[in-house]
Amino acid sequence: MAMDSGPIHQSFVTHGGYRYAVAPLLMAAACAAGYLAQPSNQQPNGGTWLGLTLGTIAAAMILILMGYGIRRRTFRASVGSATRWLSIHVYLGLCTVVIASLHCGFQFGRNIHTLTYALLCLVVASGCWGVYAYLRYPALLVRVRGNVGRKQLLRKLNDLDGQALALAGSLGSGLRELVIDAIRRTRIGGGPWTQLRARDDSTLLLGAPFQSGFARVVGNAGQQRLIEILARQRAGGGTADAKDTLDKLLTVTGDKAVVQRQLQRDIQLQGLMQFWLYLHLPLSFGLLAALAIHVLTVFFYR
Amino acid sequence: MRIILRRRIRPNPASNQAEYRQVLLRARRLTIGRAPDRHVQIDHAEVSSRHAIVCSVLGRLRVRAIGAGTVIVNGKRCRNAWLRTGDVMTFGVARLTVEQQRARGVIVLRLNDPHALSTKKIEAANDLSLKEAGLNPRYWSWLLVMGLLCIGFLSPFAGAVISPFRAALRAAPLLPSDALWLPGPLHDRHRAVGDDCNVCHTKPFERVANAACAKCHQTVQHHVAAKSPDALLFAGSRCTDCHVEHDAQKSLIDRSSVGCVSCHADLKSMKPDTGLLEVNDFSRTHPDFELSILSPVKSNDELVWRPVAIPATARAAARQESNLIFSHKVHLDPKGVDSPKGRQKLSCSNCHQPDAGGRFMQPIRMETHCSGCHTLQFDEADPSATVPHGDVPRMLTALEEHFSRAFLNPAIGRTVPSKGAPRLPGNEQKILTHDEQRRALAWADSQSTAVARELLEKRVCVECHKITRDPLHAAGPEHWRVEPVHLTERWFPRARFSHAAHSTSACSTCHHDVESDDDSATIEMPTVSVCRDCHGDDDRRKVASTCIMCHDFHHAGRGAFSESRPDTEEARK
Amino acid sequence: MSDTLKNQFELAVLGAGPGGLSAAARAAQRGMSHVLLEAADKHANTVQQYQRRKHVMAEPSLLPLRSDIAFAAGRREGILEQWQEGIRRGNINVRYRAEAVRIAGGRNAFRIELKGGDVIHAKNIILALGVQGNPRRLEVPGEDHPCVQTTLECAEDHHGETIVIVGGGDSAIENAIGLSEHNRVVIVNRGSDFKKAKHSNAVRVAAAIQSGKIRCHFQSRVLRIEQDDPTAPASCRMILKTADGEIPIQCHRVILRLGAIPPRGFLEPIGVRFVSPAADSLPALSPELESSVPGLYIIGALAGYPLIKQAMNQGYDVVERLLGNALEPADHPILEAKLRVAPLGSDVDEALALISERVRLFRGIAPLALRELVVASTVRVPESGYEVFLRGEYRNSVFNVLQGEVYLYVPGAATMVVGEGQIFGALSLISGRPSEATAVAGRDCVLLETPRSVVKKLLRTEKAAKGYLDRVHVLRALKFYLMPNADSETIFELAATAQTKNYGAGETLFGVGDPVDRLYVLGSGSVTLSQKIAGTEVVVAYCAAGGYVDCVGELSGQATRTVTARATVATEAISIDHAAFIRILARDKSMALAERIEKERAEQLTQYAHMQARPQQGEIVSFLMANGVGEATSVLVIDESLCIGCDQCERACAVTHDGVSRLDRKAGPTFESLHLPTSCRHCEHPHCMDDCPADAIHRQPNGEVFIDESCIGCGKCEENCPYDVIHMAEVPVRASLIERLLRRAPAEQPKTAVKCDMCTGLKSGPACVNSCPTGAAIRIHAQDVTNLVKKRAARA
Repeated sequence: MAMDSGPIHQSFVTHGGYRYAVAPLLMAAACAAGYLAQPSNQQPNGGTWLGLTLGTIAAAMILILMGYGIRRRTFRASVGSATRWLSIHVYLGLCTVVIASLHCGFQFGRNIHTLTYALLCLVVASGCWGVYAYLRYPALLVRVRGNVGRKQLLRKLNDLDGQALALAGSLGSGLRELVIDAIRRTRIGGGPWTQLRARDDSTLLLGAPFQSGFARVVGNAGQQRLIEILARQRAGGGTADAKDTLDKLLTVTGDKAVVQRQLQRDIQLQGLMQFWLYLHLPLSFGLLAALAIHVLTVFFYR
Repeated sequence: MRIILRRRIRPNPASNQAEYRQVLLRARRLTIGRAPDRHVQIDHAEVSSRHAIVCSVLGRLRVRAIGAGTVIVNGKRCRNAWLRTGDVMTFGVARLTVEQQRARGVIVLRLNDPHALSTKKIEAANDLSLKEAGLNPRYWSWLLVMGLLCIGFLSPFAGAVISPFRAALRAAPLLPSDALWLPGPLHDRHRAVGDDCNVCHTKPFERVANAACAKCHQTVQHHVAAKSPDALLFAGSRCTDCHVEHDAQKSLIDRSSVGCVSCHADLKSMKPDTGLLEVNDFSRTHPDFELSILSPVKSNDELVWRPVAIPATARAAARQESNLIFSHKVHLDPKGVDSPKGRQKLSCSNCHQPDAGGRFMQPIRMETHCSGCHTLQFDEADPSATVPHGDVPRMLTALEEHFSRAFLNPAIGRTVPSKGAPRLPGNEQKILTHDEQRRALAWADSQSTAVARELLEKRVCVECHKITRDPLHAAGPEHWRVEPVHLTERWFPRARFSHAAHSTSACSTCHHDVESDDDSATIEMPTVSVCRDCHGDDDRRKVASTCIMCHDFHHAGRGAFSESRPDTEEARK
Repeated sequence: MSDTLKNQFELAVLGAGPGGLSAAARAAQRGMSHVLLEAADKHANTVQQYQRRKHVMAEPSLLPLRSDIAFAAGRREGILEQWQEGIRRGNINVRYRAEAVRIAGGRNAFRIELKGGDVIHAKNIILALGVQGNPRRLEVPGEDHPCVQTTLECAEDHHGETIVIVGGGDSAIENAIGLSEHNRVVIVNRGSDFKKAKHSNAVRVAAAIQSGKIRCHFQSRVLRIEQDDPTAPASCRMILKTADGEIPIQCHRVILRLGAIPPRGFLEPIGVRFVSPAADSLPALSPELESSVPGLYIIGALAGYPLIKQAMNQGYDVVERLLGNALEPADHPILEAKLRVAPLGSDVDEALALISERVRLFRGIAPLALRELVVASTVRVPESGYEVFLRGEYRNSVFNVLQGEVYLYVPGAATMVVGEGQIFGALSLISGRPSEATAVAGRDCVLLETPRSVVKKLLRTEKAAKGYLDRVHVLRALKFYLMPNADSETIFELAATAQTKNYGAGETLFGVGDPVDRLYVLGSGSVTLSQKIAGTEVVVAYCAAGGYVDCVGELSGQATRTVTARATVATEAISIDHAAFIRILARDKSMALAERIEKERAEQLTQYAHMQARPQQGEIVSFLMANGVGEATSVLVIDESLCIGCDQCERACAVTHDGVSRLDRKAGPTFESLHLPTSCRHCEHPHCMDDCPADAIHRQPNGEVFIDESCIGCGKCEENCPYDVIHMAEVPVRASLIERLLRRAPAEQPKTAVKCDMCTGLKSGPACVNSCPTGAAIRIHAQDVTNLVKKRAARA
């Protein structure tokens, strides 16, 4: 019953066997040819007829590229699958830079026009980063998660906390509050920077009887501090079942540390995968504005 | 400052007093908030991550809200407050009470947080994505767009349309003016214009009008006669068509042939009566050069010399009537030509010197170029005596003078016919008798006439000049006439050619076998094919040559370009 | 009036159920002196005992109601309310707590003795007792213990009890599962499985037992129930007789769910004769529903018509007949309309007679049942050469040939002729696959098209029909799947040796080392073939419905199997005698069969080799199978190594389905970066379809399973879906312009079942796939699995 046809996953880069790379590249090539073909004694410039055509093409392409944003939101759209759109978006974006460069004839200055060009370059650069991110990080995420999703990880972490609480309930109140405090002060994620660095901001308010002198808020990255203390308590003797509870608590905390690490990595990768977008989008809109101004002013002072 | 923080753990069910656990803190300030690194961590919606601090100022206790938040002290909302023993701060549902302030700045605070021992789900207590962490692309987008619009457009636009702002904006170095819109620097030639766009850009959304250029360039000549109907052909053509600004060009002029060819490729279609030939490019379709030769033309029955155009077809037959008798062959004889100083080899540059502009040759002068060899002597007895050049009457008087002197002073070794007693030495001063005078004059006269005839008709003048005699008074010495020499100096009036630019190559590369022609009437001006040896349009191996390399657009004497504007303006309407 | 005093009536109706009410109401309407006797103190006792807010259906939906009492599908409370109203309005003379203990006399002189001594005289009697009033008992000592009950008001009332439920039927299972939330539940089942129950229920209870939520004693019966300690009357001990001896069970409550039986003890003394001595047999009745006792009529469940609407119509009809006007049954006009299109006898009855004797599938079905079937079906009269259906279409119905012939065309196979009375379309009915053949009508033929759901119901009840269908199915399966161009003799010869067997998910058809004596063709479901490689079970091949299992093993001449065949989902396999097949193969002149088989074999061989080389692929296949891809028509598969978690798919789904996403990307299992989000598989045998009371779930020709607006929100499908992709949602209605202008909130919607409908009506296909930016989401068919896995391996 094995048919040798049938659907298979294809990334937006290889989509349709690089079909959507062809047209843009050809266009870029054509424009380059036109650029080189223009009379040698003539200074390449946005104002020449060639410059104007190139400029118009580039502007049109930018609009199409922005159109992807609209397509993303119109889910009933029957104009090609989003994958195809993204594929086109990527390749078209790349060749827009080429055409824009030809348009400006490599004349730069401290003005709105060069700003527009610079914005375009930034947008495309961030886009390239995005392509990398989309191709790289999902695979990494799969490796980090194994076969469980973030939901399951979170549930696991909460379960572990629950177990820890249950175990702590039977301990001396000092330890009990410590464990609770540790849970309350456990951090995964946090601010953008923390997320992207996968830094563990967990802390612990540590005072008597676990440390002499003044109480301090101390770091508890990877629950290490808590584990130390628990281990010390464990060593410090006590009834058999207290020891037993501590053992359990230690294993639970150890597991928690692992899950926590996993989650942090997961969050980090997710963050990295999305972060470029926080540049790409604003820059694109900036570009749109700049483009509008560029066109307007160029015709304002003709 | 030292703080004893007493945290309420659980109400003791037996005696319903609460049970407390206390920690001793030492810190400059007690931090309160939701973040995990706070001394007092309170999980509540109303409590921000860094909410407030408690510190001691000069031994007095003070609570201060961080950021935009507020604290509630004894039920009153405030930014910050001094604390006295017994005061109660409220954070969400947690209550922090100042229990006592002991000696040596030890403060006892009681924290009563009903949620102190409850824990939230981890995802509820943490930001797990950039979005949750408050990053929002939309916000940044708006910021960027608005910023760009204000700086890049609104402010400069205001300046551009509302004149009062303009100056102010342009003056201030930091304020965004329409200088931001400047696509490229002005050409050096136009520095004088300054940085006021509106000098040239008088109306928005309209191309720079010729009038703007004409403000300074008043005398720029038109391509055709400004007043002629041809001017209509140039309706709507603009200075900016060929003179492009702001695009960092080497020269202000569009040197491409495109513009010219657009008309001259098929001029007939626009101007049926034109005499000009069609041209598409130099290397193939450019017509052969048209000579203009200075030649005698009859106008109201007298001869005047004007340049006469010789069509390229008639070129072969063309000759130059200049009244000069000259042989390049003789002068350029490789064996040399004999001169008072013996035989001497000549080259072109002995006579032909480019002028200061380097474009034309300086005119040939008898005195400077010829007289070295062609000395105008007439008396073997006295070789130093010469006649002046260029004026027959002066020549005659000079001769008479010479011979009269010779009569009075025979000592000059000439036998003078003497009647009467021979002259005795020492009595030169003796006054001539009347008859002696008459004889002397007659002799001088006859002598000079004879010499003059010889010079004009036989020996000297005729070598180079055409000499005619006046039929009116056949006798007498005044009947000779030396015809004036008319040499053509501007062979190609429509073109611009610089000898200086071509000085590196020999004359003969363009003016072929001059040394072989014996007659001054033959013409050795180069044809277009000669130029094409080195010049071409797009041929990489040749000098790229566009129209304006040899031709001017703004011809002299056509009338100012601007003058033709009005009628073309209405022609456009 | 005086009669009433003397308890003299034209008509006495026993049982104030729907049937009784309807009858009494009619009598009242026609001014007939009557009395309605109800043993309980409320009307419609059975309905009263339904669990609260239960949705009551008005089946058969096409049958028009003919009664003075209103009734339409709706919530239990509403309906009871309606009937109460009906009683009041129609001033019916009803007497509650009036239980008849004896009936004597005959027509015009019946004498009914009530509990408490009253006597009522009536000319005619209508018995509308139903059967719930008489639940089957255990007949064991201690049955009257206060802890023992036969009904369950509301599962929520019981917490933390030990409850023993006796019985293996649907009601037993439903109670058990309902109670198992908050109680320890033990099921005592006489049989060794739950075959009696609906498939879905069987599955659910099996799962519950698996997970230990419910304990169950199979093949065991109750010996006695006894009060163990007198101090605690709220508990008892039950002694069970199981396979391994007697077991005592301590419990708080015993619920008997053994079904109900007609009250023989009450009826037989009157002289009512029964069809058979069996406990659950029904009284013998005339077509007018008159029992063997003249003047005593029996309607409703007791007469064998368990549906409310039927009972009500019968009550009405009987009364009318008593008044002497014989009227047609209620569905008569419908049938007339349906049958008019074809020349099938002069009138309805004749046509029906013709149908029942021609159509094999409907042989020996009770007249009323047949009527119901025909009402549900449609008669088609296609002109000659008309394509009834096309190859590769999914359909919701089967066809019976009433007249003429139909030809089934399959590319590269002999055309098959379906004669008068025969069925076609049975194959895909069973396999759940698109039809194998194109059916073309012959000259003046008449077809009867019956909906799939109706036929399935029929097959559940009618043994004969099932038998017939199975026979046909075997023949067709052999023809289409195995030997398309064999002549009918050969097929029959093989069919003679054929056995059809059903396997639950995970059951094995045969294991390594089993003798190769039979040869398997899949009627439905799918099968994985696995081998032990280095001690671990590795899937080497996958075979979907219509496939020919392990023909490598079967034709290589070896005596024993080298692979284990395991059903991935509920699977039906037809097995034929190996020797016989080989004989036929040898006999086959045209070699067409041989070639076909050889081709198949080569394909399978390569597949084995390929998969053996890469065991991890086997794992992926078995993972997919374990998650129901094996029965999928179109399932969403996400490649985690491409998915950026942008949730565009979910958003798209929500937008295209007015704000409610039918897909949960994050949920669902993942393996080797293949993620199966919880979204509909569009199974070949949709579990959700199994018992949709409103019959609101259908299939498009493209195989997509969808729920239409007739959904009543009962949540059965949600329970039945093994991949829980259906959920009950309140579909928000977008407020109309006026409503928004008037700031009026849109009317509150009832919850209905929502699920993936593959975005019917979107040209661009399913929005989830269409709006995935990175190409991580695709939809595949069960048959694509092997290919997908192979390609992925090739890429890696």
